[in-house]
Amino acid sequence: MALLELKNVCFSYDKQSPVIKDVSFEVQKGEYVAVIGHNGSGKSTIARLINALLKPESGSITVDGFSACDKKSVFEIRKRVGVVFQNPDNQMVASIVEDDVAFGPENLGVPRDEIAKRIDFALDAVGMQDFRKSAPERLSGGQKQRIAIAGVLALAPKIIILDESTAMLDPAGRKDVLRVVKKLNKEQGVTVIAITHYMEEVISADRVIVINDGTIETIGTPKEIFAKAKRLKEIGLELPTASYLANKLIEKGFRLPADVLSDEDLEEALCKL
Amino acid sequence: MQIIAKNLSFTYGKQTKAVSVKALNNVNLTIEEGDFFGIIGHTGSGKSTFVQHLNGLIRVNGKEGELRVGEFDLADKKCDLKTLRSKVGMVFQYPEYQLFAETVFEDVAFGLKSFNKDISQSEIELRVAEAITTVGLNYQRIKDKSPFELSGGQKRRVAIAGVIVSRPEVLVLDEPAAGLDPVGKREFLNLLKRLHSSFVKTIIIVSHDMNIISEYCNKVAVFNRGEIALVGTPQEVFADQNKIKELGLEFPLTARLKLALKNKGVEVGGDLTVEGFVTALSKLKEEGKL
Repeated sequence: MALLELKNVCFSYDKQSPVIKDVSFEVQKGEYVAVIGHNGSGKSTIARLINALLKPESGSITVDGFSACDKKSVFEIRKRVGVVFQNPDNQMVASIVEDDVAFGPENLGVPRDEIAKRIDFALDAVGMQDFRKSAPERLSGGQKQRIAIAGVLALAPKIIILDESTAMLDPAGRKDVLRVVKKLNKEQGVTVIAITHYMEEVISADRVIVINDGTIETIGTPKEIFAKAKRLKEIGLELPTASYLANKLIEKGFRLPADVLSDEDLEEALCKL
Repeated sequence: MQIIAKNLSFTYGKQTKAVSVKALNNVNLTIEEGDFFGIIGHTGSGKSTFVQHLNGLIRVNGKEGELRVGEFDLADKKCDLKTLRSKVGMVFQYPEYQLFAETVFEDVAFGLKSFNKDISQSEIELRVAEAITTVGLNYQRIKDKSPFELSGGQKRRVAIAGVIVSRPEVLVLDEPAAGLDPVGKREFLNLLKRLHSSFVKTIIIVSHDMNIISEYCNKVAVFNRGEIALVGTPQEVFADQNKIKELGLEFPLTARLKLALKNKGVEVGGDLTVEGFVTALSKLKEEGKL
């Protein structure tokens, strides 16, 4: 059985204009799935539905066997799904890093010894052990986002949802966060759902879900998705810069592979000319 | 308006020595009228502190250098900040968070009214309509809407309209494209280009996105620890491979490809825009030099 399953999910904020229309997809344990779509396409709404912050109007959402539509399983769902939002300042609750990380498990009633272990594990995982006693407001954006991830990790979730978690960071901070998330995915087997506008972040995902106006436009590997340049543009998306540049060169008669995605790919291909 | 900073320094928390931070240190920089100027540098390098000086949000301490923006002497305590601010428009990161009024019209008109106390209602309507149309929105359809029911891209446009309604000659934007989807980003940057060929004479953008810098700016200054580490055209700045790496900065994709090809003995001319790169490379191919 899939770890996460959405079946014919519909949702609207005002009971009139649907934001999510008949969305179905599955995510397997250990997958790294990217979700892309233009501003207002419904990406973030889907994240909130999975985490049971919002309740679907119809259809079903199942996380690890628990229904997100059942009020009684809300806590079970939130133990399993952690969300890291865009602005790290919005989710810092304590004045010391380790207290902030402990906040989630404390609320779930995790025993004290176990919490200490989880803080250790979470801070190690994001490489922030040295900042254990620091004040969050003294940290850089990238460091704060890593603390936010640690706070989520302390809940020992099966799924981490990154809702544009790197949008406000500088390139160094973004790299930091992505490196940590990739490591968690590879080494700890944490399932990752990354919602993003940065096409460069999509390249290394196992699968990409493209959302357009509340429906699923397509699901596929990054190469499959970015092969449909024209359609992507129609729905407010674009190719990664390297693919865009490669396509321009191909139009001019250069012999380059058609599936260039990353900067490295393009550099290598050009040097072989 | 030409902008000239001479030996400009600034320290946060100067009175409390224990926590004071020197954010700018002897900055010398000239931004010419007509420039599409990029300011880069990693977090904490002094970029924002510098741009906040440009419309007097941070005041120059007379002993710590000079700053002239057109005819305005920012080191002069009597400098007419109100007039200055109508001429130097400032757009912060995520400007849509600053929308506050009940209607788009009121929001856009707010700055205009506060800069010109005796402006007539008909003039206000004219200018607001012009500003909203300039940013690519339909005035009639949007003017009575609440800014909060708009999409992210639309909100940002309304926020810009509220700045350009005063017809500033200089427009300063901090991370103008952050948070927008790819097409929204391109449209927004093209809007800036359009503005640049109208009454806005100078555009200054602060950004971490090197591809934006190389595509849109004619000049770039790199800040590092409150000082200017490099200044020049994007080609010049990103040609200094070692320095850029030492400063912990990324290369625009075009600059990166040029460097890789150079290491293979192929010199690609042209500028760092995608168009420029493709043209230069095509030329090399035609000449059989590739």
